[in-house]
Amino acid sequence: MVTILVVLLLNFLIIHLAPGDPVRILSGMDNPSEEVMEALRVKYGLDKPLSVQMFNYFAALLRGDLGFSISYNLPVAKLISEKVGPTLLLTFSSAVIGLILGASSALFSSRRRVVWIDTVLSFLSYVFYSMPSFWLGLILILVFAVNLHVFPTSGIVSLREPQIGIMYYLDVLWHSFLPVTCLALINFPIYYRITHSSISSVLHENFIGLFRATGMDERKIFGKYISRNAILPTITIFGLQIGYAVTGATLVETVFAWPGMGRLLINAVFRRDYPLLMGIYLIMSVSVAIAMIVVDVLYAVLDPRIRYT
Amino acid sequence: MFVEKGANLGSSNSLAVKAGKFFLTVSKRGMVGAAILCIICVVAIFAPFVAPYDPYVLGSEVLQPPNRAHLCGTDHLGRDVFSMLVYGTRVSLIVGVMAALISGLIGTIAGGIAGFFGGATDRAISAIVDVFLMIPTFFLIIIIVAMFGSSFVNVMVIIGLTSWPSNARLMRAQALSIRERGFVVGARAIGESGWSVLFRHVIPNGILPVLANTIMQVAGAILTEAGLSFLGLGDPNVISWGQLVQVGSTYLTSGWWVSTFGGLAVVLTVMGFYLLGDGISDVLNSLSSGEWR
Repeated sequence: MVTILVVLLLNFLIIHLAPGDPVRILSGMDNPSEEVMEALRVKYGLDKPLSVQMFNYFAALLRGDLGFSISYNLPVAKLISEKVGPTLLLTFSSAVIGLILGASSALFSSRRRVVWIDTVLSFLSYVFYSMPSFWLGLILILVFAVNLHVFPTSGIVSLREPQIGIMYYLDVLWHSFLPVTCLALINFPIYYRITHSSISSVLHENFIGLFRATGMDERKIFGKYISRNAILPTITIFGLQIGYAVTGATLVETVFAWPGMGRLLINAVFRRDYPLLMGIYLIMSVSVAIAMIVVDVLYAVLDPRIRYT
Repeated sequence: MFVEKGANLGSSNSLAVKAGKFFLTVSKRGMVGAAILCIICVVAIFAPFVAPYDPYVLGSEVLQPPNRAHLCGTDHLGRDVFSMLVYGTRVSLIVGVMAALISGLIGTIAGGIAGFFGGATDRAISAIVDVFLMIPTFFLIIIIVAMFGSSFVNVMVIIGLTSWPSNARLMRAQALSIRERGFVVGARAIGESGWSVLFRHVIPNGILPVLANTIMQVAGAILTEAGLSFLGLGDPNVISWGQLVQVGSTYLTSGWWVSTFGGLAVVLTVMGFYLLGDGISDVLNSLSSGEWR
């Protein structure tokens, strides 16, 4: 709770101390007259001292009011709630797919211990780990949209022929295939690396040697003891990723023209839209904090050594 | 794992050769990374000799596909893509290395102070680190760059200033354990001041994990710089790989090669740094498990 407040305070200061006047952009004129600027400042409360602006902002927050976006001319809460759906669809599903891909291939390669499978998988994990997400997006567009014409290049629904009912959902699914694949592939090495390294550290534990010595079935050792011990660090990373999921994936959203939070944030930055920026940051810090709590609880459920009293 | 034993220590092999051999036996991936980076560094240093054209000169042959005259084709302004890639190496390396150095320096000092002196200082620094770790850094960087301008120097300083907390965490943990060791207690006992012990004994003895992490951060900084350039937040006056990808994305249908080669250069370089960083970690692990005597 204290951390959230500090984060908000920091952001408030950084955003407001930065050079660049939102009023100038707002007026839509290159050289707006003083009267116009003054009137706009009064309208948005930007004429008051910084401390008063800050106080007003926090007071409004307590009432559940996130403020009014300067550039979109809409309430911040409404804007965010419109964009959060597409973003969660993108980030959540790709995090889950990345987790399943990464963790299961790490389990598979450590279980089989075939050298070439291990080499291929860790080579792939290095390649995708080093890959800029936006570039992978462009390559996917180039191959599957521009050349093969199997998936659309951008957007979340077909604008030319709007669909209804079940077709609408299929349309969304069809549009989300490439961006989700892109992000999932970018996420894959994160989970692969962490699962792989934690499995190899568990493998050397004494109790595993003991199980082997008693002649326990290798499948049982792996399924019950190794994977359960090795999955804990993976869960931590997954939880944090879900926490950040709300803010979206700016670069991937930009490449695929996905109407999500990442692009909203970019627009807010370029237009000096203070209230919108603050709103996005608030949502983000709260969701990260919640994710951390959830991870702690999950830990307690998965790891019997940890009990909260 | 096969490791040379002490029998060789007295032979004519120089320490560097031995270190190299040791590195190769312990970590092949580290050597691969080092090899990739050596080639890239040579390209960066000798860019004017490697590049067949001046990357800033506009030509009349626009959007030429890769051919004999232009290995990677030309962009929409007729510039040679291969020459742009070669010169982009300099930008990426400088941004990456400088940002990581800034991060390593701040992280080492802050973490060292926190771990070594403890108490209220430690609590204050740890609180700052926690706050930083909660903010998705990329967004913070976007905001700061957008607000304070996107010059080459700005980008690298901002990346450095936002990525030090992980180094601070590592150094703090190191300092916490090292300060209890005999030689540190001894140095204090003969009256060395706290700061002197910190900089002469604690930091030099705990720096290696921070070094491995810093090398990884070079890779992260290169990716961040590329991302910023792609969003149009890079320095418009210098040629960088991210910029190349961004320019090419507009001409995806008529000139796939501009974006493709720009991104490949990023992948190769970043992979080199990750491999080297992992290699150093491998070496550290085998050192601490006592395989090298």
